[in-house]
Amino acid sequence: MRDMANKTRGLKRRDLAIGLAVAFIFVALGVFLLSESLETLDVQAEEMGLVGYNILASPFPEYVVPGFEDVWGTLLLGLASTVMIFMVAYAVGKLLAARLQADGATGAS
Amino acid sequence: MHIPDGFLSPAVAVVGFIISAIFLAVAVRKVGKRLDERMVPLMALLTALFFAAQMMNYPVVGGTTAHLLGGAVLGIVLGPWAGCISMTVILVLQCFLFADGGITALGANILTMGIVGVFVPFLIYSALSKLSKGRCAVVWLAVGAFLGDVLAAIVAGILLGLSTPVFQYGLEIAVPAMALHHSVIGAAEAVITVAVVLTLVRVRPEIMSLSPSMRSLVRVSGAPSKE
Repeated sequence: MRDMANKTRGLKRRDLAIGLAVAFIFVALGVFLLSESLETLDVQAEEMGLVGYNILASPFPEYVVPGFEDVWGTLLLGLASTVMIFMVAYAVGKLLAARLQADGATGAS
Repeated sequence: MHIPDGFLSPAVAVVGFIISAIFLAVAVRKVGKRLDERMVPLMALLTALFFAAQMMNYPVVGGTTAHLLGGAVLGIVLGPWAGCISMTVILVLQCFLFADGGITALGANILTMGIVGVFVPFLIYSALSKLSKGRCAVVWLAVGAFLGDVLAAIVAGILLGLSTPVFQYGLEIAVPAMALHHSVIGAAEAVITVAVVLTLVRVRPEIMSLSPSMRSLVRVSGAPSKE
């Protein structure tokens, strides 16, 4: 994380920390205050007796840690997932940006 | 707006995968040629931010809830192709880790939220900003964000409506229901989009000036930019 922040001229480690803190607040709000999910799709499906399902077995279905089904488990999962998504997106961005640099180094358009 | 397994007909699901695959292939190619390395941390941060934002479910109409998409910020700030990749990262991880959206509907979910939800706000904002010569850019941000949400919901409704008899409601019910309910969250999306973009322009104008669609807003705001 330190490396990734220091290498950029604009977005510094402090910016990343503040941004992630805001994301953590969103997660906490989503877990404690705005957790009830009843989307239009779910209502329409319920009215016609259609049950949505998932073919793949997910490790954390519905954002719940198996064995820790309380809000604290969901909160920790949400926070850890936010950091993980940050790192995955960073890795994807780096890979794509590296292609640009490689093309530039070889003189490709 | 995440469609689970079992709601789409096989034909609609396949079309969703084909369209998404084409867009993602182009996105990887275009972003690989244009993405400034200095934008990567911002891309990662916005991706994480809107993953977290999607965990919040707001009450909308008739006791139902909806969540923010984040497509407008991703598309306008990062550019539509990088924004499409960011949203796809969110959707893929939500699908495989949390069963939020089905694997058979992943193509459709990328089509609605990762393509329509990202490209529409960008195109609307860019076109209106150009037409108005950079004036009222904040209004165009809000309009783009609102319409992006609503059109993404309409496309989801169309995919569901075309999936009869699997999804028994036809287009005439699925589309208006999705559009009505998501117009409420579209208003929230507009407010959040304006707040996030203006904060970024004010706090980090030098980073925002790397984004082609943001340069006019950086100039209008009077913030110093350096590349």
